Formats: sequence, C-alpha cells, structure tokens
Amino acid sequence: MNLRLRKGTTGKVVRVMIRDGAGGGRTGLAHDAAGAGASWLGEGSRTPVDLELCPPGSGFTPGGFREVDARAMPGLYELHLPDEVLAGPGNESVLALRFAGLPPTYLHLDLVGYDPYDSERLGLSCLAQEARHACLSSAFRDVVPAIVDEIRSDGRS
Amino acid sequence: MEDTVTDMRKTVERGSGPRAFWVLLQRTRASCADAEVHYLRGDMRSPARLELAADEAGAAACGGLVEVHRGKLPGLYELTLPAAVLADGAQEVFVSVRLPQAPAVVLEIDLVAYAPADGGELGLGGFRRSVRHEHLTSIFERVMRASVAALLNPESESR
Repeated sequence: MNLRLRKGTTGKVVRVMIRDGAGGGRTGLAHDAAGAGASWLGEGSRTPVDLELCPPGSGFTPGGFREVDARAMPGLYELHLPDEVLAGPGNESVLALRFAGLPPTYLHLDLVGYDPYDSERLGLSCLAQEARHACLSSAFRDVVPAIVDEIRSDGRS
Repeated sequence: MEDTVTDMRKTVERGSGPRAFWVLLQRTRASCADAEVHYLRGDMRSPARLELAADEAGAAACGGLVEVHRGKLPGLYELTLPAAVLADGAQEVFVSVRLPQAPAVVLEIDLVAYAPADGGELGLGGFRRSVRHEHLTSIFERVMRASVAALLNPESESR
C-alpha cells in the first residue's frame, strides 16, 4: 500500500488493508493479537524502529490500532502513525505490520515537499503571498531607481 | 505461510541517481548475490542486466541489493540503482528483481521533470526566484517607461 503525504504531516490516521495468505481480508486482529508487532524505517537508515501498537483513545494516539468494521469492510484497520514516521529527513518511510501466521503488511509512505491537498498553492513556499510580494517588491526596487536616474539625466541635458 | 509479492511504483526526478529503492521480495533461501536485476528504460529496446556489486563491508554499492532486516521487515530489500538507470532521456524505467525460486517483482519508476521533495519550488525552473525576478523586472521596466513617457509627453500619447 502506497501513500503520498507531505513531509512533516502530523496526527495522521491511515487505513490499512490486512490480508491473509489467500488474499482475503483478515478480521479480528487487535493491537495485542498473537505476534502483533510493527516496525518502520526512514530513507537512508537500515535500522528499523519498533512501533508499539495500542488501542486508540478518543483522539490521535500514536501507535493506535483498531479494526474498522469486520462485517462491512473485512480486513480494514485504522493505524495512528507517529509523527516521526512522516518527519523525514528522508523522502520516504516504510512500515511493516506483523501478525502471527500472516504475511507482513507493508505501508510505503512517499514524503513529498508539496501539499497534495492545498488547492491554492500546492503548499509551495514560492507561491505564498509573502514570497510573491517579496519578489514583486524586489523587482520594483531594481527597476525604479534606474528609470528615475534616466529621467533626471534627460532633464539635465 | 505464504508471502505476498508486491509490484511497486515510484516517482522520482529524472537525473537524480544513484539512488536506493525499497523492494518487497518473496523470501527464499537464496542470498542477494543470487538475485537477477534487469531494467528497461523508455529509451531502450530491450532490457539490460544490472550487475550487482557489494562494497568491501557488504553494504550496497551501485547495483547492490541488500536485505534490510529479516526479523522486523521481512522481505524488504534495498536496491541501489546507478545514475544511468535514472538519467534524463526517458520518462519511465521498469526494474525487475528476481531471486531464485521466487517470482520476479517489478518496480516501475516514473522519471519526472519536477522534484517531488522540493516544497519550495517543486524543482520547476519557472518558479525559481531569479527567473521570476528577471521576468517581473522586464515587465516593470517596459510598463514604467511607457507610463513615464506618457506623463512627460501627454500629447504624443493622445495623438
């Protein structure tokens, strides 16, 4: 499963499909199921970091893991990603969920510099109001004195 | 227990290699040294084999394939592709990784012209500060000269 998120995103809850060896959705898993474990790795590192799964609280709970609805969406789970997973410095992270008797479920996170959900400026700093204003101002500052000087010298001649 | 074989897709800025990618492979008893890696760029007619190499410490060199952590990240390997595989000149490259007695896994890499990780300008030349400054300066200069000329000589403007 691949997700594209802006690097530095915080408080992110993702939904993960967990399948059994035959490809069907595996129901009934919890944070304390047999063999339950999770580890993640940031780009550039070869040392996995363990993530302790826990029941989610009422709000964002790093490591929170729960089944969504075993009847309506069998195999779908909710995972509260710790902010460190999305913090970089690399441009991607990978997270593995492990349960006894199941193949590992991988979550691949592309950490991009832009904000795919910003309809105004795609999260790009160069398109921010202040950045555009600064660019316009500096262009004005460079042009005006030269033209004023020309006018003055024309007036003197 | 049966492992899942996953094909993957990545988006990277072309010309940004060499670069490491994670690939998920079905685990076998084979070692990385037995792996076969082929690649096919959009500007190639047939796949080329990538020679795997490891440095003296056994870590990945260009073309290297290294198992990351068998216990915690089972099946996850790091594949380092040489710069030539990701170079300008193609829009995509397919990389096939195969361990003996296991199906091949295909990594599809989109070689794009922008830099997905650049939150400032997205790697776009048109967004570079110097380019925008130069563009704005030329516009301002033209507009101001016309405006000043009109102010100083209103009759020529009215004619």
